[in-house]
Order: sequence, then C-alpha cells, then structure tokens
Amino acid sequence: MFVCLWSPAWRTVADSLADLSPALLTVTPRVVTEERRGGLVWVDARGLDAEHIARASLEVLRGLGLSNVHVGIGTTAIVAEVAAVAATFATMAGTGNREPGTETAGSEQPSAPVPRSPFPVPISLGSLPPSILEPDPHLAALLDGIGVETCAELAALEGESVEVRLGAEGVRLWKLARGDDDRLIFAPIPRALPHASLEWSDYALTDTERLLFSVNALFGTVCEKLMERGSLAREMTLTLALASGNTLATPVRAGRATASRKTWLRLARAILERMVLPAGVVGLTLHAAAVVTDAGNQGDLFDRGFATAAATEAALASLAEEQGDVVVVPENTAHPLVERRTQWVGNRERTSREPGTGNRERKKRKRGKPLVIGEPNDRPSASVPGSPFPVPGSSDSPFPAPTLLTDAPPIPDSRLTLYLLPTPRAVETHTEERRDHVLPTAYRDGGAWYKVLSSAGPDRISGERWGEAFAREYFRCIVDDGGMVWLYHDARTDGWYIHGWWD
Amino acid sequence: MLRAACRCTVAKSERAVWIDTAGTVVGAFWDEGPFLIQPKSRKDALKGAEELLQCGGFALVVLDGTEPEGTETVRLTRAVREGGGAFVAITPHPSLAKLRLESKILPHSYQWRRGPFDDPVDVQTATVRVRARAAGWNASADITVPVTPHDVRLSLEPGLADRRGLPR
Repeated sequence: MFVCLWSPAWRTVADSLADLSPALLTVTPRVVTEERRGGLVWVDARGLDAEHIARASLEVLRGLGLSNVHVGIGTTAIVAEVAAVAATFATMAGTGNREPGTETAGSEQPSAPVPRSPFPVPISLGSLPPSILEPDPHLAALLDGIGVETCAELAALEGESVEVRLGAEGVRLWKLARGDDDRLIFAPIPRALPHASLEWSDYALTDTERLLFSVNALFGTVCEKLMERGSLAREMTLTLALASGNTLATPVRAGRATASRKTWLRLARAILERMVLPAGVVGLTLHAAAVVTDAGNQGDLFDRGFATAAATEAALASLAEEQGDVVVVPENTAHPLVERRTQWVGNRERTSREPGTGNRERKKRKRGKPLVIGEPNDRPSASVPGSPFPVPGSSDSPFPAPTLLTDAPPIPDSRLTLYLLPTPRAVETHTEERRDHVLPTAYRDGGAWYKVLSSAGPDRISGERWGEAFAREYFRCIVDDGGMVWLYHDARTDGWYIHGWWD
Repeated sequence: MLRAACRCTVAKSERAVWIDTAGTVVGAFWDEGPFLIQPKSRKDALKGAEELLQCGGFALVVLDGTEPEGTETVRLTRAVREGGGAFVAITPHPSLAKLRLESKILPHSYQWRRGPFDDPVDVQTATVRVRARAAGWNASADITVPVTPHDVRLSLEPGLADRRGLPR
C-alpha cells in the first residue's frame, strides 16, 4: 500500500519539506518527497499496516505543528495521491463534502471496478474531473471537447480509441484514470557493498608481511561475499587505522573487475610494499568501492578457446597490470624507413579506437555462411563486457576468436622474414667498386668476419627534408654461414651498418 | 618456421603468443593472429612467459630474445606442465627440452631472380636444413621456403631530396 501526505500549508513552507523526512522516518522505513502539486510526501507502507502508519505519520506531523495535512492510502500510487489531494480539489470544485483540514483515508472509501481494469478505484475518485490527473492543457481541452467530464468516463473508454484519438499522453492519462500507475515511487534499496574489518588493541603492526597476513584474510572474506552475489570488484579501499588515531585510506584498483583473492592480494602487496607507515597499524577495513555484475558469456560447444578464455584474460590482465601495455599490435605507415614505418600500440588502445568492431560483425557472420578459418581479416572482434582487456575465445573478443571448423584449415606456409635490430649496428666492411656504387664483399660483426657470397642492391632510399635527413643504400647479402643479412651504406656519413637479417 | 607454427595454431582455433624481448619483429611483416608481447626487460619476459604458460590458455608460447638459464628453465618447464601448452625457447642451451630443433640455411641454396644484366635482383627461395632430436630419435630434413620481399619503398613523394648517385 502507498501512503501519500499532502497539505496546502506546504505551499508556503515547501523549502522545509525535506526536513519532515527525519521525523517521519521514526515511524516508517522509507520516505520520498516530490515537488509536484505543491509538495507530496510518500511514506512506504508496502507490507505493513498502512492505516497504522498513516495515523502515526499524522501524529508525527502534528507534533511538528502541521495540523492541516491530508493523507491518502491506495494500492497504487495514483489512488493514494488523488485521495490525498482530492479533499481540497473537491472543495475548490464545489463538489466535495470535506473541509480542508480533515483527514482522508482512501482505503476506507468504497471501490468500484473499472471495466477490464485490475486496479480498484474508489468511487469518489471516479466522479472527479480528469483535471485531477494533471493533464496537458491541450489534452484537457480535447477531453472537454469530446465530453469526458469525469475520471470514470475516461476510464470507461476503449484503449485503442484513446490511443488513436488522444495519443500517447491520452493513453497515460487513461491508465491513471483506471488506477494503473507504474511509477516507481520508491527506488530499489541498493545492497551494501561487501566489506570486512579487523581490529586489535594489544599491539601495533609495522611489518608489511604481518600486515599482509591480515589483509589476506580480509580479502578472503570480501571476495567470498562478491562471489556469493555474483559480482566482481573493480576497486577496493583499504583503510588502515593507525595507533596515532588517524586513518590512512588507500584505493586498490585492478585492471579488470575480478573477485580473485590472489589478484587482489598481489595488488595490495605491491601497494603496501611501497607504503611508508607514519605509525603502527591497529586496525584494517576493506570494502569494495566499485562493483560490477559478473555477466557470463554464452558458451559455444565448437569453440576450443572458450573454456580457457577467462584464464587467458586474467593472465593478460595481470601482465598489463605489472608491465603496462606489453601486448602490442603494429600500426604501419608508408614511411620509407622500415624502422620508422611501424608504431607499436597497446592492444587495448587499438581496440578502443578501432571502429566497426563488435557484436554486430559477429552476428552478421553468424547469419551468413559458416565460419571458415584462414581468413584473418574476417575474424570477429570486440571487447569482453565488463572488462578492459580483450581475449580470444570470449563471445565478443577483438582478437581472432576460435571459429567453427567446416573444412580443414589451410596450413600457413613457412617463409623467411625480415627481422630488424633495434638500432642499426655499425660494421666494418670490405668493398669493391662498381660502376656507380660500392659493393660489400665481407663485413666484421662481433669480432668475426663474414664473407659475402652474393648480394643484391643497392636499393637507395632518401628523404626527410624537414626532419632528420637520411640517404641509404641497402644491400641484401648472402654470407658464408648461410644467413641473409641486410646491410646499408649511409651515404651521408659514409659508414656501413647491419640493419637486420632474414630468418 | 616458428611464425608459421603460430599462425597454424591460431588457424586451429587455439591461441599462440610470441614474446619478442629484443624488439626484432618488424611490424610491416607481422601477421595478425598470434599475440605479440614486447616486454621491457629480460625479467619481465620470463615472468610473462611463466604466467602465460601457467594460465593454460595458450597452445604455443614462443620466447624470442631471452635465453632462460638454470632455475629459470626449471620454472618454465613446471609452468608448461601446469598449463599444458607448448613452449619454444630460442636458445643454444636447450636443457630440459623434450624436442631440440636446429636449423641452418644452406648458403648455396638461395634461388635468385636475375635482372636483365644477369645481376641478382630478388631472392625467391632458400633451403633450410632442419635437424630434430628427442630422446632416442634423430631426424633431419631439407625444406625449401619462400623469402618474404623486404619491401623497400624507393619512390618518395615529389619534392623530397633524392640522393641517388651522391658524390663519393
């Protein structure tokens, strides 16, 4: 049951409406105030004796010096609301029989069923004009024009005709007239986030290892609670109570939401080991500060990687937390120098920037022909919900996800591919003159001489008018140990360098 | 060959990771599919390899540019056993390895594409001699593989300095 309190006196003391809540909370578990109609106070009586709570509320308000208060009780919010304000409305309209200042109890009024409406509406409300429901002025004029004078007449209309003739706003009003009100007056009470604490008074801890022992126990409790409610924590706050009376609050953040005690303990250890404690610790409090729901992914019987996707995600997230963005992908440009052509970016960074990835692509593929392996560009990609780290095998991963096998996958061929030294290394060379260039015949690297059996080149590249200019003559050389190396002659400094090799 | 193994692993719906400690992988020639990890130090590379092996989500982990030694090898071997994947370390000291592979390109096996003046222009194929050894087993084979073109961009946009034929 809903209990609604309304008073014409609140129009003059609207600012203090919220001040009534603390007093009313002594008799009811929840109170909500609204600014509509000059101020409405909602008292939560669901599952309780509504009439008793209504009387107790009036007593409390009388104690505060507010005697001119109307109360309405109803199974739906609109019935309680109209019952509370109807007394004054009826007086203003000249049709009512109540004086302002008298109390109204909607539940005591006889109810009449509205045709095909599951909501009992008091007869007295059915006789009220539709303006009690606060319609839009345009709609009020329209209702007046079609001869609807009471809520009962409006409620008796067919829903389809109301929708066609009066539109969406008309349907809303029609539903209210039938006592159908789906407003959520009282929002769901948020659950308290998991927390745990520990205190001791005989001694003060300054040793990090012993402190971690206690922190481990707290993480165990909190992580267990998180798992019970199917949640993952993205951030926890560790508060240390110091012997000096002060407290030291430290946020512990994870790269991905997790309920793993091992992960949280590792993060807490990293923080505590760096922390300088100003005094001994006599108490610990740990509470989950940011919690997300552990949304599971739809499994795929033919997906070999699905079973290990979570473990992989956890391992990669752990790497990211410890070492930064080490999982990289290349972003290539058309720069003539190979070493300047590529920029390595973190995989997460690329995922967030890359357009056109996501479930849509995967769904599109699912609708089409079966997935065939060996087409790297067609692989589905997206991010794991609730996680900043993408992992293949998850239902919507930006990495190449394991796919359905319809044919035997083509075996990729082995190729000799170029590898580069991080920075070109200067080498000593023996050369011989050609018509317009010199050709290396041997070079010394790391104390050993390598004879060049055959070479191709030069491949000349130059550029960078505004930056660091370069002019190089590259040679691909087969050396006597069988390797193929990439040497270049720097035409600006007249030096020889080894830049890479094929392997 | 190892990169082909990585691609093959991915093609079989499993995960492969290449740990490139020395930063020698060329972005222009990296194939999408396997994970590429570029740790900042040797220690990071070994820790990362251990973690990835332990998690059990990777069918193939290749450690390039870092040679595990002594106890490090033992730890990695345990991680492999725990995770159930395959681990390849590129090292001249393959202790504790179940399978040891050696490869060498045969110097005179390169097939060149010749230019109009019979000068070598492009390497097309090369033959690699691979020797595999395991407990009680030893075999070798010659495999001819194509060579990826190095893709030098000789033509620059107009206006940039062209230093061909610089005075020496």
